[in-house]
Amino acid sequence: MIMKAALAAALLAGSLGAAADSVVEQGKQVAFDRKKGNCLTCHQMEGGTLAGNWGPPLMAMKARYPNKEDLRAQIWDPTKRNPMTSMPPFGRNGILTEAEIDLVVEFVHSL
Amino acid sequence: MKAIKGLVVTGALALAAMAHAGSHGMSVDALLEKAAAANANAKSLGYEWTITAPAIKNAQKALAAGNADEAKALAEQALFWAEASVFQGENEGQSWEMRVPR
Amino acid sequence: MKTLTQLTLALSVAVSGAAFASPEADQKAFQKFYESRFSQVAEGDFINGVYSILPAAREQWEAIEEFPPYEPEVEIGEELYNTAFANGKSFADCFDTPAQRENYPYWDADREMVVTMERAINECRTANGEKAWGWKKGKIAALSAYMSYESRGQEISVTIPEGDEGALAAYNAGKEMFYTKRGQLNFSCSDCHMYGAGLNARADTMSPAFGHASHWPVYRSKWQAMGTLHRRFGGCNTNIRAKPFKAQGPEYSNLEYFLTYMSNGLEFNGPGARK
Ligand code: HEC
Ligand code: HEC
Repeated sequence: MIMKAALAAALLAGSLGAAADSVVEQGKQVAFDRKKGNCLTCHQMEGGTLAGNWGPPLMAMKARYPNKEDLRAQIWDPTKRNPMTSMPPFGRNGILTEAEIDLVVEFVHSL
Repeated sequence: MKAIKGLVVTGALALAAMAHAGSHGMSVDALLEKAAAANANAKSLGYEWTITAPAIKNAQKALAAGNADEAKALAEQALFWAEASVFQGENEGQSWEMRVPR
Repeated sequence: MKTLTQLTLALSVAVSGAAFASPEADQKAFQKFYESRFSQVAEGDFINGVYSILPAAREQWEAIEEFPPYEPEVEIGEELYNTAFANGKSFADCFDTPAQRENYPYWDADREMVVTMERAINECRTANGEKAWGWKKGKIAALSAYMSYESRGQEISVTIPEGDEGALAAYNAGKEMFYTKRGQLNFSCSDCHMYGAGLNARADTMSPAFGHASHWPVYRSKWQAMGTLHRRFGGCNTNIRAKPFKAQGPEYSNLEYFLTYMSNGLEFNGPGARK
């Protein structure tokens, strides 16, 4: 299952070349890519430019999310916690693959 | 009555989406058939996504070109999207009223 | 099973409260939402879209309006209006005056459908043996621009005929379209143009939906041309990866019916110019 997800990620996210160094760096690429996470549309995040202000700035994430699984759940389907939210359900709607979400979680948790 | 049916259907779909891993044993043809049926269902609900039909097409192309792994990954992707769009349609039909200001 | 039934019953009771709110009550709550969120906006000014809430961008926009990019289109539209069809008749035989905006959209009880001004334009053509124009741009937008220009200052006053089940159903369908999340990105119109109004997606400030139907067709610099309201609906749906509906089909016509009714009391000020 994990291998399948990784395969799909590799196939569909050609951008994640072998050149990308750390997991955090790869997560940043997925998060900032306009065709992938595109989180900057709504969130200010360190290292990103031209961010919107639709959602709160993402910072001090380790303190907000001591448990990484909670952060993953927020990204996978934020409507679970807040049915009125306008943040897209990146996992439920298959906007990102499971493997890509894992990478984004690593990056966001490092903010 | 409609509400009850909707909820049950919604629940079943949620399960289907989660049980998705179960589709890994399916052939690409079977995956695509299922994806096309789900996409037609989404369309009839008025909730078709722009990306699903092209993904089905690309999977068929990859299959015809002999790229079995790529075809399978694309077909699984298309099926996931098709089922998620059906889930959205069923779910929204029940829950949109919470957004109406009063 | 029993608890499930009870839960759904409770849910459907809670839900029907909003679903069956009267259009009048909806309209009041809708307008109040924007008036309190943007209390700085002068009465009637929501017709200016995002510029009603962005004083900085407004100056630049007003400079553009001094030499409006839609002016040539209005002239083309006037010519189209006055040019005879092959059968010798013209639009003047269908419309008593080009200043028609205030009459649309309306519920046609006989045909059980919403009729928009663009539909009426094309029906005038086909009734006179001419081919219908494309719905989203080109000649229909030019003629619509001329007719809107002639209609400036008319009050938006869409009616939902009392006791007409079909009209109410069309209104409710438009309302549902406005509030339902669609597309892979999972947005409702209301996510952006109600709860997101005034916020920035990247550098784009999202406009209030109050006033959305006042100023069509619009010359958009992105299009480098005029487009109709349904063209814009299609664009906003495609952006969120929702398959757009056909221009002038029942879905978008009902949406226009709802959206225009929500803006009752404002003035028509088309054609418009936007980014
Ligand atoms: C359309 C705008 C939008 C996009 C795109 C978006 N978000 Fe959000 N996000 C929000 C909003 C609004 C909130 C506020 C919480 C809520 O609405 O429930 C939020 C909340 C969050 C939170 C919780 C913050 C906290 O302090 O608890 C996290 C984490 C988050 N987003 C991560 C992401 C990531 C990662 C991405 C990109 C993969 C992303 N978001 C894309 C709108 C967005
Ligand atoms: C993801 C956010 C988003 C969604 C969802 C969305 N729009 Fe938009 N829409 C925009 C942006 C951004 C613009 C351009 C800036 C502006 O004027 O708001 C725009 C522009 C418009 C305009 C032109 C405004 C004007 O003053 O001329 C209309 C009308 C409109 N949208 C209607 C809709 C309708 C109806 C829906 C639902 C079918 C919808 N939009 C969904 C983001 C969105």
